[in-house]
Amino acid sequence: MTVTRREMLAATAATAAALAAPLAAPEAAQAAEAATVVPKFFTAPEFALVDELAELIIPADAQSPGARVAGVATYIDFRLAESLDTDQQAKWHSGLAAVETLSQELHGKAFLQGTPEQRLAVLTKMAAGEKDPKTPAEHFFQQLKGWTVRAYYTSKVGIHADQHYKGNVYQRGDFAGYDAK
Amino acid sequence: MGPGVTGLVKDMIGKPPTLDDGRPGGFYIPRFRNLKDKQPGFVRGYGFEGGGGFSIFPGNAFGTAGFGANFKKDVRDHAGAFIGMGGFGEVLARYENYMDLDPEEKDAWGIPTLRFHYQFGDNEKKMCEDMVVAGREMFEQAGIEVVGTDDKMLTEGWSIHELGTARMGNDPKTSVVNQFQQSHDVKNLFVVDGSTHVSASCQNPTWTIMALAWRSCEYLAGEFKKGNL
Repeated sequence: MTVTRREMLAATAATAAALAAPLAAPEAAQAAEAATVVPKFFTAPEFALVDELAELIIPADAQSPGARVAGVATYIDFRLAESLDTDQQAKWHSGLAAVETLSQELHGKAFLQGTPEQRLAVLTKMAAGEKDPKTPAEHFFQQLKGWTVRAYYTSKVGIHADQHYKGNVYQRGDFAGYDAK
Repeated sequence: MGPGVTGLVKDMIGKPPTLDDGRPGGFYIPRFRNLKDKQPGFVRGYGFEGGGGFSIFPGNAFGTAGFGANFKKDVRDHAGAFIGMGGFGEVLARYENYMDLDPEEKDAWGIPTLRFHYQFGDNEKKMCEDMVVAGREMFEQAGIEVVGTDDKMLTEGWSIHELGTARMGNDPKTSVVNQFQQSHDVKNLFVVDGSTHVSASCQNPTWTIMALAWRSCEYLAGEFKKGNL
């Protein structure tokens, strides 16, 4: 997904709105995303799940939009659609299934049917074994987070809106580096 | 050679990003061991090559635990605050290290392929142990919090400048070329690259290769004029 300047401005506005009304705005953004993207690798429910999980890992905040606006799910979907690594592809299907299994165990409902608190509880459980993953959901968390990080921080949103990357510009005048004194 | 340290410069945490790409931001610490001191475990020495600062991708994101708003802020605050360096040591000449032609394996053109017989010795292993200790000590003394050390040596040949195999020496029985990189056996053959180096020194070898090539060419031109070649 390429983010145009217009979309960036809209996203920033959506972020501001999200901060003002945290319950209403994310759902609207999610609906907009789901309506515009036709996944190439994931099924539609899988795509919606990845989109939500990624946004929980890197959410919008006062500085920058989150994984959703950065198009993280679209990036992962595209990478997997183009991939020749069938093991990797299988891991994504089984990993997302493990998230649903965990959600059913904890709350008796599908992940996206859960309340924000319940979704957070599932992801927190998945992240508990980050250093030494044991369960399928814990293993999947590592994979999900690694790909989300790679996708987000290589996106226009991640590079410019979040990290304020200064490269690829002419450096004029004195060097603007940080003085350690 | 593998071993190195990664540190966190606490003073840099939360500082606004600066443009650190595309400027000379790396640093080099030249060899300091066995110059005035005498190390008990090894001869010769090593240098450190390192760098730090902001880049287009915050690599610290992969090592930052957790998720959500705190994770995101943590990545942002710590981007550009890390510094790392790795040791580059001399690999001594070992009699057991050599290369030869494979008696059976041939390439697509029927030419025998090369076989490398190459291993680090005890001196390199001891030197690598010292890299971790010294690197850690330098960072700590500079007030940098050491967040990671790597004490594994790379596989032989992983980090490489191609050096050796046609070693320089006075004795035709134990060397391939003389001090002018002229073959002992074939007088009009000069090998003016890194293969004449007897050991792989801790510095990058290109300037030494160039200097030796210059000297050898001067000798070659002189001998040619005299009609000796």
